[in-house]
Amino acid sequence: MTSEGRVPDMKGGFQVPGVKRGFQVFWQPGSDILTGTCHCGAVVRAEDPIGVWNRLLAHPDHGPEAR
Amino acid sequence: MPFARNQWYVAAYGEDIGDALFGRTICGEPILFYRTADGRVVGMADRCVHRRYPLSAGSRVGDRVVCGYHGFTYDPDGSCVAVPGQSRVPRTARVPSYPVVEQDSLIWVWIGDAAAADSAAIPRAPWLDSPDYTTVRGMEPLAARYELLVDNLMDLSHETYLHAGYIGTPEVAQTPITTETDEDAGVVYARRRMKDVECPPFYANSTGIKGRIDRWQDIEYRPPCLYLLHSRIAPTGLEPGPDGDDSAANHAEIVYAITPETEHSTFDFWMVARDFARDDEEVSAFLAESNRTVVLQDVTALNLLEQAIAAEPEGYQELSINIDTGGLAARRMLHRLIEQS
Repeated sequence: MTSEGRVPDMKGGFQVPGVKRGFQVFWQPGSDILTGTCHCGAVVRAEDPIGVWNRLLAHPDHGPEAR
Repeated sequence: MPFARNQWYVAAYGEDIGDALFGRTICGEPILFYRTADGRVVGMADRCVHRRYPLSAGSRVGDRVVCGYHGFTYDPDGSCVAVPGQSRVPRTARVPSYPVVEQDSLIWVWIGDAAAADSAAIPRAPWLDSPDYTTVRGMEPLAARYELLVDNLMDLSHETYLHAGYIGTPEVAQTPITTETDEDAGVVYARRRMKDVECPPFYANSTGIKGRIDRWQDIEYRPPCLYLLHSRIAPTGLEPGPDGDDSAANHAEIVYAITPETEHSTFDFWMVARDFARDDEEVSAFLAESNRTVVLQDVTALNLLEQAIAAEPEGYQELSINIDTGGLAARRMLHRLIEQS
C-alpha cells in the first residue's frame, strides 16, 4: 500500500494508478536494455539510464525508434 | 548542491521534544525547538537577536525563553518581550519563527518562506503512530551530504554486497526493477517483487517464517525528505485476496527521513513499523538492532564516500549504469525542487 492508501496494480501498464503525467522504466537484471514507457504510450529503449530518461523526458519527441 | 527550500523536513521525533530547549541545525539554519505548556511544539531561530548567542543554551521561564548570555527574553512566536537594563524593547527585537507541525509522530519544520507553508503538503507515514503497527526507530548522524543518502536508498542493488547477511540475498540482485515517476506529484517509485526466494535473516528471525518467501520491496520517495519502503513478506504463493485483503501477509513499513544538517552532514532518521509480532519485545529488539546495523553499514560507506568526493578535483565524471535508474530519477526530482525554490 502506498502512503496515500493506494494498492499498487500489478496487472500491467503503470503500476501506480492515477498518474496523469509520468514515466516508467523496466529493467531485468542481466539485460543491458532499459525499456521506458511514457504516459502518452510511447515505448523507448536504451542501453543506459541517462539515455532512457532523456528520451522519455523529451516527450512528445521520443525519437524515431519509439513506438 | 544547495538545499531545496520551501519544503517540509523532519526535524526530530515527537518524543525528542519536551520541556527542554532543543537546538538542531536544519538545512544550515540553527533552530530552537521546545514544547509549550499546552503541548505545542514551537520553532524559532536559535540565535539571540543581540549577539547571536544560541538560545538553546539558555533557559525557560514558563513558555518564554531567556537567553543565557544577557537575558533577552522571547515569546514562543520569537518576539522579544524583555531586554536587560532598560524598559524599551527595540522594535526589531525578534527572531524568525518556523512553522512546525507534529504529525505521524514526527516533528516537521518548514524551511523557506513561512507565509508559503502549507501543512497539507506534508507527506504522510501513518503507520508510525497507528495502533495496528509496532515501530522501532533511531537516528544516525551522517558526515556526508544528503544526496548520497538519497542515492543509497534509491539503489536496490547494493543490498547484496554492503548488507549481505542482513537484508541482502542473492535474488535481490537478480529481480526485475520497475521505476516510475509521477511528474505532477513529484514522486519516484521503484518496485521489485520477488517470488519464491530465500528469506533473509532480518525477516526470518522476526516473522518466524521458515521456508521460502514472496518478498515485495516497493519504494516511494517523496523528495526532499521522506522515503518509504513498503515491504511485504509472505510464505511463497500467498497472494492478496481478490478484494485486496492482504492481512495474512507480513508487512514492514520502513521509513527514512533524510534531513540535511549542513551541506556536508545529514540526519538519517530510520524507522521500522510492522504489523506482525507486534507485542513481541524480542522481535522489536532484534529489528531495532538489525536495522541500526544496516544503517551504520551505510553510514560508514557514505562517510567514506563523502571524504572521497570532498577531496576530488572539480569536474569529476561519474558513471551511471542500469542499477542507477531510480537514483537518477530521484536526483532529477531534487534538482527540480531546488530550481523551483
